[in-house]
Amino acid sequence: MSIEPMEQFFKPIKAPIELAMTGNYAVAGAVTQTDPDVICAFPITPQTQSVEGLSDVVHYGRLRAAFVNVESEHAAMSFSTGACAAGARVFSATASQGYLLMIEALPMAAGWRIPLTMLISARAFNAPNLNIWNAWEFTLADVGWNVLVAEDVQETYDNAILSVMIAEKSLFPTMFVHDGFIISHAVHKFMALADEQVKKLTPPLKRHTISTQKPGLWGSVVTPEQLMEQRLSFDLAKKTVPPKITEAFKEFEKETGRKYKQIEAIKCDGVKTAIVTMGSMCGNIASWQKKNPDIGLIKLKVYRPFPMLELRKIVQDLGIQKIAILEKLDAPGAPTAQVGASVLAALYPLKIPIKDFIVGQGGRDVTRDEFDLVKRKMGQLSGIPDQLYEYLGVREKFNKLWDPNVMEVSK
Amino acid sequence: MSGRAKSKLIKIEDLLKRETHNHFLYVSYDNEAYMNTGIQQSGATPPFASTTTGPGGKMIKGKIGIKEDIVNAFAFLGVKSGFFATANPAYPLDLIGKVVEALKTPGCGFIHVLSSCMRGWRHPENLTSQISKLATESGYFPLFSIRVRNGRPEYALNRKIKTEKEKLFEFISMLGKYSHLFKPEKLEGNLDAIFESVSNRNQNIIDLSEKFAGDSEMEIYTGKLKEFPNQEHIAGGHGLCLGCGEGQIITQVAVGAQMVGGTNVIYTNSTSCMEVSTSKDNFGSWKVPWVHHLFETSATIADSIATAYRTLKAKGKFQGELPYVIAMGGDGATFDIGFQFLKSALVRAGSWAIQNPLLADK
Repeated sequence: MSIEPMEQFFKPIKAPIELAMTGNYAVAGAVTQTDPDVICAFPITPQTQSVEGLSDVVHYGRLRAAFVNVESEHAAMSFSTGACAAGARVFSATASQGYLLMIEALPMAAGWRIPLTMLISARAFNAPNLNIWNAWEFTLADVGWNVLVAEDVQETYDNAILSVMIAEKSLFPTMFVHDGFIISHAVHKFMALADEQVKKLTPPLKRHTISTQKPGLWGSVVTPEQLMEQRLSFDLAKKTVPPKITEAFKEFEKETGRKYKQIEAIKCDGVKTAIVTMGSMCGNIASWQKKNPDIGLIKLKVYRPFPMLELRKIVQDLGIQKIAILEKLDAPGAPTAQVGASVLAALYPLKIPIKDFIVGQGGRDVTRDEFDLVKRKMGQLSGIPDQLYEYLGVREKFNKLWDPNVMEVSK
Repeated sequence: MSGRAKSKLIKIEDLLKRETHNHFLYVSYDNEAYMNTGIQQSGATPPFASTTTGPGGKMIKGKIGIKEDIVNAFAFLGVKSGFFATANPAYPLDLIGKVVEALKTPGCGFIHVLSSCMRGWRHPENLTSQISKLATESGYFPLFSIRVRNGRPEYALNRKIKTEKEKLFEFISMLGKYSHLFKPEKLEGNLDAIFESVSNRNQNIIDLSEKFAGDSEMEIYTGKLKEFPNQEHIAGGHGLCLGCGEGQIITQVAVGAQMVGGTNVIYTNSTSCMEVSTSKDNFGSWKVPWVHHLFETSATIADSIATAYRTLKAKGKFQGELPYVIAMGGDGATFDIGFQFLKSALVRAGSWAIQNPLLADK
């Protein structure tokens, strides 16, 4: 089906090469290069081409892997978990309702400490109506997975490889996210690595597996005598992940020259206000900053484990006095939405004004108009607000944005 | 059916000589309700049986509805190769023979086993075997097997099917879950309705076994039970109730599996009595790998483990003998919450796994 877009990955890639592909196909290419044994997913927009592309490389003989079509995302996550626990390198992918259907099976993948990787092509979920476009459904469940978020096609290609490195070093399943349609379906230029480079970066590591050579119980019942200790040891293990991510980033940089940080301050020197966000919005904000050098950008590349102390240090060291958060999923009834909750917790000792802006849900464009509004609102913000979040970019009329303080769209 | 042998003996020792390898076997222990959570109604609960979510009351007399017939439905999915059967631990040679044959059949295997639950069925724990035997003798739980090749099922009966009204009512009267049908007054209409549903189901099986006949009408598994090796898969000391049918079933499945695969066997288990009783606080009764994931996914997990090993072997990353993987699940995991997972795993193992050029047996 997608032979043409995947053509570049049908033959060995002997030297780094510049390609132009959509985010989904670029991920399919990167995953091909990591030589997975099992690929198991259930199709859902906007993730579909990532697995279609992989079925092409398998069915045309480029990749020796079991490409397993299953009956649901729940089955996809369960199958991926079982296969990975049995010793296979496994890739899965999903979005939206599929992610929600998987949620029951996500904690076991983390609890069993298996290095499974999964692409999330981030999309809204149904309520009150169906919407296939971008939102951050992946922030809903905190069950112990590592989460990387990509800004563009280059980063999502790189994350597919980094996720294998991080998952296998840390023995925690790792999901990597790109914004649905905005990255999944956008064609960008990016540099693909040579197959040998990817092979060198992702060597198979020894780990525990389901094996008759070493019998054991997986997922037995435990009483109140045991679960708290197990959860604590799980949490302590999770705390060892960030240095392993840094190690992976360093190895990756050494091989490719591309440098990544878990959290990065972009043009924050001397600013009083900074925006904390992640994903595809970062590039737009960075270009908007050219005319707005008074607003900094703090980009989260790693969302889980959340780089809490690093964020606090950036804000403290740079003397930033106000923080705006942009995120793409609301949480009705909660004090504020998911990303905001993490940022607020990280920065609470600093007692600075923080406002969480809900933007871009359901694929609504987040444009410079929104950034201008954020800037104005942050300018007006004095002290810690009673209402920690607000929606931005919601229309009241075709040419007028809804706002408690009524603001006209600038012509 | 002319030219068809009346009956055939299948020697378990002959089955063991086969060199073929099963891809995925699911054993369902059907105790006819969700026993682990306290006897709630399932798709396998028979009509008028009293459960805690469908009690025998003044107005409504237990379950309204049917006991689902699942084996026949699975046999008509159209798989390339599969072995489907019913079994009963009161007939250990039959059950063990079926486990051996299933593990020697490429593709998928599914064995639906009646599993008495003395608490949920409400009978004295020392009557389990007697009651289980009566279930088959009365026609309530007939024993048969279906071999499917290229989508075509071939039926064989393993015991004669006779629906005997008196024996059926004797079976029913021994179970406290039907006591509301006898006291304060005998509800003849309900009892007749049970008889009718059992008769009709049995007629379906007889009709199917004639229409989709194998080379003999009746097949009996034979072997010397006393000469079978002791199983080393599960130790005693699990926490199942006295007289629990599941305990008998695990032992018999393990004896069959041990003869086929030694200790190169992996079990997966759905959330259930068996799961909680054999694995508590990581001090398990299992001596071979045992995997419990979720209520509904024992089939998917078993299939995924088997597929992973086959793939790793094909890629040269695993050098050993392929393990046998057996999924075990109760009636909830089989008929209800796990149905979709089970159906799809059976189909994958019965078609995709044996047709896929990467995974195909050399």
